[in-house]
Amino acid sequence: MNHPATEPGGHDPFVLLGGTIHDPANNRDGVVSDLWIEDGTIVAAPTDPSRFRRVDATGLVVMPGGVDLHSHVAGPKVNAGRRIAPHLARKPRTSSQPAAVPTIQSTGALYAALGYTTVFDAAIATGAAAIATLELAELPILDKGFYLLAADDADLLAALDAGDPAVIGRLIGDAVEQGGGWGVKVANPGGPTFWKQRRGDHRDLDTPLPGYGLTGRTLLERLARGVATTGLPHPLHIHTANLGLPGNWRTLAETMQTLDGIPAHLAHVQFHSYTGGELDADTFGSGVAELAAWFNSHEGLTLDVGQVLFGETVAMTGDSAAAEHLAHTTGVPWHSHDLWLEGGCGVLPITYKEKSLIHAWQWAIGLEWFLSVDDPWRLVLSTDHPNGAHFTAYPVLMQLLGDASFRRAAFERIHPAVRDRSPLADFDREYSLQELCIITRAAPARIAGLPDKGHLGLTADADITLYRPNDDLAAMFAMPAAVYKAGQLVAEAGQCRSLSPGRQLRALPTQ
Amino acid sequence: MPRPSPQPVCNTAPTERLVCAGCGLLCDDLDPGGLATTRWACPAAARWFTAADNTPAITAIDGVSATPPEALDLAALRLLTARRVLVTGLTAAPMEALQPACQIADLLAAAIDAGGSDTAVPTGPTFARVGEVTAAFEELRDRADLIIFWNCDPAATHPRFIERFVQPARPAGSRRTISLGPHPVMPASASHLHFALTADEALPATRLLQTHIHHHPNDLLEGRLGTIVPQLAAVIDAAECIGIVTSTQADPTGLTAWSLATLVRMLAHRKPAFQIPLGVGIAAGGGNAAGVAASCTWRYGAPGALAAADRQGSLFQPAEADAVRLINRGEVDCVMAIGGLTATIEAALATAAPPPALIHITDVAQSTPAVESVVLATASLARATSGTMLREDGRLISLTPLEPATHPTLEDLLTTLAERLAEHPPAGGAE
Repeated sequence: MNHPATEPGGHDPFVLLGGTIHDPANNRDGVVSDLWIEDGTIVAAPTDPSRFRRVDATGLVVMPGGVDLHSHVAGPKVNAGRRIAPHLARKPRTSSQPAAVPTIQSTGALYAALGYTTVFDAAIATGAAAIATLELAELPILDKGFYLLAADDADLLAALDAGDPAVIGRLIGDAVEQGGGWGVKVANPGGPTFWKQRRGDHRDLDTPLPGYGLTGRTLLERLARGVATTGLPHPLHIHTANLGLPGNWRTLAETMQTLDGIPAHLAHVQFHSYTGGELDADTFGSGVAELAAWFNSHEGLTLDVGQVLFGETVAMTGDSAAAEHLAHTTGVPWHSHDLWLEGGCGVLPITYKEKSLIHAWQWAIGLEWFLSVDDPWRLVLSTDHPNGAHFTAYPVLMQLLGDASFRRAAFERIHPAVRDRSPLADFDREYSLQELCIITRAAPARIAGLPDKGHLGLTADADITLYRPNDDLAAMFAMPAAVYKAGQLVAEAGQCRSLSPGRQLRALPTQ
Repeated sequence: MPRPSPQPVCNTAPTERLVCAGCGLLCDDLDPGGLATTRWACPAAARWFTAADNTPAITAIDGVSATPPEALDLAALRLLTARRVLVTGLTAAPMEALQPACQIADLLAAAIDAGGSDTAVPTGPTFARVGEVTAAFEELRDRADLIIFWNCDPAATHPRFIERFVQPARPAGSRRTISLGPHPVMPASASHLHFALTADEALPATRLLQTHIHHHPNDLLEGRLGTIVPQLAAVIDAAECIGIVTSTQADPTGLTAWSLATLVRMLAHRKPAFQIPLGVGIAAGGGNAAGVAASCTWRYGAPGALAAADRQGSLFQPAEADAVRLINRGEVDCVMAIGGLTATIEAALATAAPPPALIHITDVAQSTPAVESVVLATASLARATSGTMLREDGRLISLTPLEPATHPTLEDLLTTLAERLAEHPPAGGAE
């Protein structure tokens, strides 16, 4: 019998024996059982088990491979991120600190070593889809897809203005099919039009876009319906307006109300949940309580958090106005590029500090979201890599969620004004392993529309991660004992064992 | 057992579509009749397409005709036994051929000169310290009501840039153009203003304009610049959308690039404004300089001028690890070059003592100063190349071959060479 640590790679059939299985989609919560794998998928126990290589998983926690629903790993903005912070984009500065914006090969290797086997880039302009596809082809191991910023395209914007559902649906389908995308994202609805016509952002969802009768609100509503009727696997992926601005919780609230009854996914809600007036430190704070109350009672919506963790990183977004605002405020290097007949992107380095009032609020607000959402199946763990933090920081975030004492200790280090005013100290909730499994695998796979991922049932992709149980959750999740992608051992004990290519996930819209 | 050599492929039907990869504009609007009638759109296109009329390259070893398998074997051996390899000339390669080219560089930990505008001049720090506010060429064409040519000469570096992206009428109304530099870049007219500036005045003019736009009292405004700067500032104030066209070619220190990026950024915080940083243009030897920079960045974390290819991240060393300096300093003993050698690299090879061995993958015969050379003949780069290239502003352009390939394509040759190298350990025996 092999142990994962000594097992060769390959596609031969094998069985993982005696692992402690966490498979929320199939109602298995810490069940000791075997998993049979053949041809890259999970199969039923065979009548003749002799041809299956036996791998001892006794004592190990077995979960589906991680699915990152919202990340930024490829495309021109990521390349700009690599160049704008060369001190953050080189080889690891220490053994535990990877590049903030890794090379495409390192991205795949680091994700795999972390136990993740699927990733989505959350913002690719339709005009950049082809070059992003070339780059993603070099992302090893993981299956990967992207969401297209289709609503920035002039033709679709005109159709949304005209409001003909048939035309909107056809153009969405064409964009996704031709661009090879998995879904549709909107970044700051209508924002690129404001950005190009005049600098600065619009402050509400009801101001008509320059040159259009369309408002941000009608754009959201029509686009979300269009995506739903086009039959894409993932609902409209929404980065709403006013990202990062004080008082923007109202915009997120209005966004949720606008989408009531329409399937939609709200991206990096942490960045959209701030109270307060403009540049008013005394009123800046958390709007999570009211937002979460609405969210919990409206089941058509899902969200990812976009957690901020402290340290250096690079911010990158398809929301040019948000990047300009941050660059103007901080004076850091700023890259912006406007595409023809589309939006653009903004990229800048950023350092999140525990003692910064704003950064501490962002950290606390993200955690408050995690701890306020009742149904983990509607919530996805993310840092909006690399915007809030590097994806390799996910284990720390998992410990913040699963270990209240660890969270309280971290809370004691942040800015005192936030300690005084944030409700975070009142939360005793701790995520169980099963819940952590849901928000990192099962839920993102389900929300993405990937029926063969995020679970360990029959016919599922054999994307499997084995962990050594540890009360130190950060340590446990940082270094899986073994990671299988499509039944092939790709990483063990933090080391990448294979750079085999993954699949590009493309939606095939049905109209 | 030696692997079979790549066979000539004829898998593409002739087509009339014409994309010129003679410079980073990648013009895809050319008259299909141009190829037959030689009514070329511009000098770059003429040079690019007529290169294929020159003597085709012949596969050869040290100047003596050889079979492709022999040449590939020896090329692999020389690459594997070299102390340090430089890969250059990638600007002539489509995106699809860059992957095997980079695989070769990866295997050998080779230096890479991407041939872009920022490999030979120290502009890298500007991007990392100031940033860059840019836009697609069509955004300049359709939106800018003021275009400023800042000490650049697109007519010389990108011959059709003005015709395609400046002269067409702006949909929303009129536009003004201004050129600053030694020569006007457009004919004098009511809408075009030229300010004569020497190269030495470009940097102070930029700085003075920054302070003037900031409305700071400026005691330094005197002489000619004292006249020019207030006029410029007034025109900029009145404009709604400003495009500033720049070039790194006459900027040996990178200070002007730094100052211009700062100026554009300052404007862009206030109103629509962007920089159009023109790259090497026709001097690059091919139209895919931006594609090579992009590919190197996602592979190595830096856009070229790499001392050693490392897929975990490589150091960007502009004006340090570029081809000419590496050859001049004798730091490479083998150069793998694709396409026609640029004049600067040819000159560097000619004066290197001893000259590095040359692995030259090319479609056109070219005399080589290298004592040891392997020439691998490829299909016409101008007429038989398929795939994609990245325009200098980041727009991916599809190439369609005009005629069937009569030799292995660049992608085929590089793939075969990469496979052959992968069969052997990098530290192979002596030749």
